[in-house]
Amino acid sequence: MTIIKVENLCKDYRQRKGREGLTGAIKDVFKREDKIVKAVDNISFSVEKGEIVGYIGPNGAGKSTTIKMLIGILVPSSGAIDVNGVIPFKHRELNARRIGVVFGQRTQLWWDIPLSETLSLMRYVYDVPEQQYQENLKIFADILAIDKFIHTPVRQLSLGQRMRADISVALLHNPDILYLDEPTIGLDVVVKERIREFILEVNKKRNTTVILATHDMSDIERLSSRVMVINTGKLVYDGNLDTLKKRYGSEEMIVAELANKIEDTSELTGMGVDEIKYQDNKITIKYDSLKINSSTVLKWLIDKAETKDISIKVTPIEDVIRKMYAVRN
Amino acid sequence: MKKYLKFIQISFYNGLAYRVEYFVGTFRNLVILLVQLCVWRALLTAGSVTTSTGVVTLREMNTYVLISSMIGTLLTVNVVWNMTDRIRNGQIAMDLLKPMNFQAYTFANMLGQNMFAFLFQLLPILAVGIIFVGMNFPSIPNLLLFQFTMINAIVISFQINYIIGLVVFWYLRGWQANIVWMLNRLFSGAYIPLWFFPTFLVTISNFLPFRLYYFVPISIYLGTLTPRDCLYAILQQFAWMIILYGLTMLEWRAAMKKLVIQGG
Repeated sequence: MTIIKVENLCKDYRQRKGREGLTGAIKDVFKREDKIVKAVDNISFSVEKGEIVGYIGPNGAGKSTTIKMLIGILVPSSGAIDVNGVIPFKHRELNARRIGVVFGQRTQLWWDIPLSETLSLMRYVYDVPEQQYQENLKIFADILAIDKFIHTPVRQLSLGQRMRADISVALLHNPDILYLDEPTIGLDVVVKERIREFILEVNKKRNTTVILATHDMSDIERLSSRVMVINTGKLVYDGNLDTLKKRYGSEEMIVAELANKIEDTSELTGMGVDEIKYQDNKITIKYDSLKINSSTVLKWLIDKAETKDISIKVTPIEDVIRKMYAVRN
Repeated sequence: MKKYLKFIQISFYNGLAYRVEYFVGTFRNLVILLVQLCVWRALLTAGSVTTSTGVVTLREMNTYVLISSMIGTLLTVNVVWNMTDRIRNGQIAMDLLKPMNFQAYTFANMLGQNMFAFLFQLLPILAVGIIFVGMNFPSIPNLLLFQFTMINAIVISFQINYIIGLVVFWYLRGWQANIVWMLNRLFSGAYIPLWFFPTFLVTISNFLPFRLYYFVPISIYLGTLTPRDCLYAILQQFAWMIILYGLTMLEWRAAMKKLVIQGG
């Protein structure tokens, strides 16, 4: 069941184009020259209920702008959004009832009061029934350990505590959709893992749809199988993560420690590898896994020399993305 | 509905966290109050003065100043600055992603804050009034009417400031509020009752809403308005509340379209 449908979504911003020099500045006072920046440029996609979708892109690509339009706090310049049968920016409050949002760089918590007060307040804001409220508090205590700091004023919380608190607030009312914008930014590995586990748990138990906008590739790899890549406002990839890796990250590398040097590598070159490097007893072979299989290279190696140690390295997802990000205006 | 009551409660209790600010604020208001009392005592050396609407005694003038000071604590000043801050640092996104009416939420926060300020300053002001200067007290009907018009006054004052605050959604600056407040200081009668105004200023004032939350309630308290004028004033309050509400609705739609949320 499709829960989010986005069609030809656009968001333009007017940016003042400041003309240079003194004469330019004076001219600007009388007639402003504006430049139209397309923050989101004709994006279309749909999300099924229960999916966890990763949404990645370089800074300024339009990730957060898209999310803000999905939430309903930003009005699109053109295009259509349908979330759960509701147009977010037209029916902001109605849409807000069934979504939970975590902005990694901002907090939803009230600054001067303890976390318990914020949670109590959110119970009223979202009309959470008493039983559900108590149940969720217990779950948050069990998995996110928020009971340890639930009475501490929010301004005294560490980043990891604050993030766990924000996630609790976002999920208190059992939303259908959870939007996460950089939820693990700045967190240590232990807290990150705890949060990721919690998100997986919530998705499994409640079939909560999750939209995860992030720079952290390990977040993506851990949580989502589908990934959308946005760059300069345009959607450049929407599909399976493994397919993305295969298509854009097919470069692999075999490093082997040899007992004896291989004199003639021309045969290997003939088989279609990209690069062969020698350093002391180590040979490094770079190849495109779409052109030649790793087992073919390995077989040749083992035939030709006595190998003491072999390792195969695939292109890290970061490099894949870096290549896609490198195209910027 | 309950959620907005909770907001009133929370912003009320927050006042307790900022005690020092309130002490300083109370002190400041008391100083302003005393200055005004001294000024009027100097002006009304004869003990009374004849105005366009009749004779005003020094005691009545003192009462005017005291009640005006009390009203000042109830009427919002913070709405515009709070909104400006939250829009400029992007925290407004946190408010808008929740299932609540933004205007009601802003109103509830203002109410809690100002109620606390009012209770905090009520005793000192009354002390000055009763012990040091002497003030009048209204008849029961007038008191009830006064309270009724004060409720309307709080709403109207909020709406005006909210309309100014919404401009910040796209303009990102709140200094335009100062223009309205300047007009407010003059035409509301907060410092100088409209009895002392030349006719043409009174006429202008009649077309503006400002006097409806200072001069009119205080006049009702003092009993200087005829029943017909009272009714007329209350109807005007309702009319302005409706007009201003319509304006907020229109402005909200425009504001949301132009809203720029800072930060990624």
